[in-house]
Amino acid sequence: MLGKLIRHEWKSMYKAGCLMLGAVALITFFGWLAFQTPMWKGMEGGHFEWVDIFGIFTLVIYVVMLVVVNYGILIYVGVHFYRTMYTDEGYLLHTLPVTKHQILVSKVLVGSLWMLFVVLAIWFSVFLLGASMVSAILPEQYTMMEFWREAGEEMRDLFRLLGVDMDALFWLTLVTSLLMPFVSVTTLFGAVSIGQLSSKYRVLMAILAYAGIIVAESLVGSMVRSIMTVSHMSAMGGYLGRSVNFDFLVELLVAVGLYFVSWHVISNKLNMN
Amino acid sequence: MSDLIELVGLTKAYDEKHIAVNNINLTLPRGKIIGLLGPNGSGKTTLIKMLNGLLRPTRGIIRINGQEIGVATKARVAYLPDRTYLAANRKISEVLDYFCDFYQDFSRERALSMLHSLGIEPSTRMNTLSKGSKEKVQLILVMSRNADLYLLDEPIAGVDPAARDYILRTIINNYNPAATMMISTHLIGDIEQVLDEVIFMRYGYLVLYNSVKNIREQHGKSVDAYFREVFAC
Repeated sequence: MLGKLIRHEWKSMYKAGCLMLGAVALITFFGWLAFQTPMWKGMEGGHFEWVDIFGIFTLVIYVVMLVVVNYGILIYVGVHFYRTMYTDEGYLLHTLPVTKHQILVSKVLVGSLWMLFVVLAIWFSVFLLGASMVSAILPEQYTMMEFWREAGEEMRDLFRLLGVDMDALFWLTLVTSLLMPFVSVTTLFGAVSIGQLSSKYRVLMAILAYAGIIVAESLVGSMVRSIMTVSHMSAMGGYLGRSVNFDFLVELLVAVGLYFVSWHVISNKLNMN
Repeated sequence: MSDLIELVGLTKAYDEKHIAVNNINLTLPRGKIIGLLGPNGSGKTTLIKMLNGLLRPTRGIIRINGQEIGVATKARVAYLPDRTYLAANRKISEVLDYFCDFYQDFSRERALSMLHSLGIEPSTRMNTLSKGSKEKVQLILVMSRNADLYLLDEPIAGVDPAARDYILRTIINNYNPAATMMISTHLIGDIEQVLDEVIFMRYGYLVLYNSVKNIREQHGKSVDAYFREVFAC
């Protein structure tokens, strides 16, 4: 039954997900177009042309749109969860012969995968745009390969200076980045479910619950970072690694807790009136 | 044949002051069409929601086919809520796929045949249908299942008399005699002819559980007239 739930959940979300990916592709194209303006080849000239103004304007739009898409997918996933779980559509979902865990797992899995796809698309877009910018401003005697090699060596030196284990940081960043959509979506679903415990203004309560959770996580993270800054002043690398680890660990534990809050709400406190 | 539904001390309290269903003890047989009757706020919808697992009782026990509410009972209960629960942007054919996937007792052929008789194309999206047609589609989905228990919450409320006739005809023609059907409604006169038994509820309490035949014989009046007498304001 879990497979069937996942399949139907995927079918109900893929259009919006593809729309988001299409939006990222479109704004990436316009971002790339911005770096094709003459300004980037002759910045020392000091004078702008209309096409340069278009380029800068396009870049601003690019950044704004990436932010919109990044939060847009999160909002869409949250609204979809609310609509299918706690409004009239929930009458069908909650009377299916499936367990509450199967319902939640299917929603977390599909929502998180779409978030992951959009986040990966945004990273790829930023990388492409960075490459376009480098290509636009790179002196003629440099090739792109040489640039990346030199940039990589400089970064490695910088991290060595700071005492950062670059390989460890890379894997840590990769793992946390891949898991973060699952953590974010589970946290969001938990907040939406907490909102349903209110007899009135459930959407507002869900938004407040989400804001409260994020603020509480940030406060705990800041406090621990402050303590770590004092006790690990001499080892920047250790500080960075522990900081990333701790922030992620807190968010992961909160997400696990909120998964069971959602399960409790749909098992014992479901009230769709 | 054993009883289908067993309710023991069933209570649902939304808070201390609002007790929607209060200490109901009842056993319901198989093979009956039962009218669940009572004024607004008498606890009919709450009782139906507890039977299909949408609400958890505050106290008491529910058993369907001897099992407590869960995955197994949901597989054997067909539920028609008092609202449109299908996503507006879905095609009817997609909803049929959904029911086929999750309910082993769902007959796609029966659903298509009923849709055809109404002239509704499976490729139609739900948001293009009228309110009456949406209710008919939902009823078709429910009646295309070969369930043990059918729970219909206000199936004929808010539809025109012709649609009411269609709904009642569909219920009678597709009713599995081995199953029990519980119909909650205010419009007793319209459905009285199809009922075998009735349950009267008021303020969450069970007021009466009797057969339609007994009520007519004992009180010399129709269920509709007797209901008006019992619940006179």
